[in-house]
Amino acid sequence: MRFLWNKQAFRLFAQNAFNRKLLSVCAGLFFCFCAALFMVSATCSSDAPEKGAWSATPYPLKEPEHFVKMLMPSDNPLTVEGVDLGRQLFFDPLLSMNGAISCASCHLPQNAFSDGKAFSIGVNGQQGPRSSMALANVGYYYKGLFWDGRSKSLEDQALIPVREPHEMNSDWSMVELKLRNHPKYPELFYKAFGIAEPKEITRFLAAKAIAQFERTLISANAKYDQVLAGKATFTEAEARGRMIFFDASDELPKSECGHCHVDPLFTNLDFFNNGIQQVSSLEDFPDKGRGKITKIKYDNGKFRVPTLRNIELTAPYMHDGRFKTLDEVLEHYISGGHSAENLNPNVRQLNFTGRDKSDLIAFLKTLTDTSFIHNPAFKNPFTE
Amino acid sequence: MIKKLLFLLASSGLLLAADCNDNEPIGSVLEINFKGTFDNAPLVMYESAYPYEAGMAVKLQLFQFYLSDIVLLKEDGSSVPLSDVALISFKDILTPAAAAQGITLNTSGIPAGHYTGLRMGIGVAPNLNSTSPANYTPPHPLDDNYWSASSGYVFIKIEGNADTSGNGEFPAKLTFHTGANDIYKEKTFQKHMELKDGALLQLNFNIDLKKVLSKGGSDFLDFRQVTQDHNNNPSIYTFIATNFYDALSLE
Repeated sequence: MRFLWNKQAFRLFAQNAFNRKLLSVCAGLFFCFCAALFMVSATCSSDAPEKGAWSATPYPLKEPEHFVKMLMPSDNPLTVEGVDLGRQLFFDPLLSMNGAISCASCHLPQNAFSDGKAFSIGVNGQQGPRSSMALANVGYYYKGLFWDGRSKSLEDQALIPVREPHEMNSDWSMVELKLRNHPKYPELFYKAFGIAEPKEITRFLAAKAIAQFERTLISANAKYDQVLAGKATFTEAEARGRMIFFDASDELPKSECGHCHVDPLFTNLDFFNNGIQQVSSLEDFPDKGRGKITKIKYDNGKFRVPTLRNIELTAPYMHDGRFKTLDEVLEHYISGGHSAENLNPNVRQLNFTGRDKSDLIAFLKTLTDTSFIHNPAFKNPFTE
Repeated sequence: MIKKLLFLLASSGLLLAADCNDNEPIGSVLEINFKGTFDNAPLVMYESAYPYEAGMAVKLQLFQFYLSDIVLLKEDGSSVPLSDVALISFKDILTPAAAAQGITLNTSGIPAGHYTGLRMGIGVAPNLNSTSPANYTPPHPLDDNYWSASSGYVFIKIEGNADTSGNGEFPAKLTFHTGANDIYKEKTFQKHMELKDGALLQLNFNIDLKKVLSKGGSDFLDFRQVTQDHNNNPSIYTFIATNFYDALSLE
């Protein structure tokens, strides 16, 4: 080793042609080594977390035993960090064009994640064409999202409101830039998804995080559930209303509610024409609903059966919010609805007394889950 | 030299893989097809109006039923299970072409051999009827159609409209939902079948809905009198269940 560092010896060595060639190879190797060393040191000295060290904590989702099992996409498992990021994004108006509208603007926890309006209001006061759907138990919806089922998954659904003109009226490329240059989000995305650099933040990861948060929005602790669990009892009116709801007694009138509002979700997730719109033909529905998506004329005027869980908190009712109260809703069903070729035959004239109505409404109110709307895990993180 | 070696290794790997596959019986594929008809006319939802008894006519929106414990019967008396439960729904049959295609259940990997027939339960077998959607991850045949008030599944659903006065209007709303352990019944269909490895065999079943609603003569569900039953009236739901049993046929 000393030989190499002796100048004279080095000169003699270099004069030899063979040795000169060997020297050039050694120099090349030394250069490569230095370059690699530089790259490694540069990586280590940067603030970016080391790749491969990332891991996220599985989210301990407590699924109610009396519910169907939630369908979890294999490419978006629930993690504590993912759900936390999703919650931040859900409540953050940064997603909208003017920084004024968040997902939570139309899905408020106190309204069981609906908004109390007939038609939702987006940026600059623009009115949407339909009422905001409640999000309780939305993680169980596997027959499509929205009133017309146009999105196949929560991940697909979460991409849409950002670019809808009457909702957030923004542009995902712009939102991605805002998230990448945000003082907080790059770290949150790293924790949730292990990204190496802010530029890896994409709309798809944002949608995944929002979907994760939405899958945690489980409402299964209403009085109805407590009665099922033997922890509470129905009043006489509630019990009678339950029998009417499920057509469970030959002594009581039938409401036909339970055909579509199947428990435990109180929706079968399907799409029906429930006769709220009077039309002369199937082509005349002002909002074609499901038919606009499937292009099948018999789907015109069909809309998703909404959940009745927390129904007391989600007025006004129907896709266009035409009914302000549960009493109005019942009056509609008692009438038998407007005829149409595709009117669901389960919607038929009912023979109800005033007591039948009030008892049925008493039962419906047992589906109110106050622990759901007051759950601190679902609250706006920016106001804590 | 190295390239040659790699080629040899890859070739021998392929040969080994092919050899392994050859040793495993691949079985045969059985397609069980169900076609719906109404008095022998293709059963189409919404679009078609079907003449019924006493000058009435009907239009359908939904016709579906459960089948359970579908097995192939072997010559030695043993059986090969094909499916625990299946929901056959004509809900999306909206054109004559779709009706001609029918609803198909595919089963594969069935051991080659001679079979004498097929057996299936009409409805949801009692062991499954005691479960609920909470036992399943959607999509699953039993994730829906549960009747919590009866703690069981709706085996057969028939929904539509009737013209009861022969004037071309269909104001009467029909909803017949049946299901209970006491109307669950197994039916055996005799047919000699030879299944060969790698081959496909198709079995074609027919269910004629008019035969479910009517036995002919004066023995039919009179929609001028009754338009719904949700397992409330035994004379109606057993009529439907018995007729269904008779109407399901193997062609």
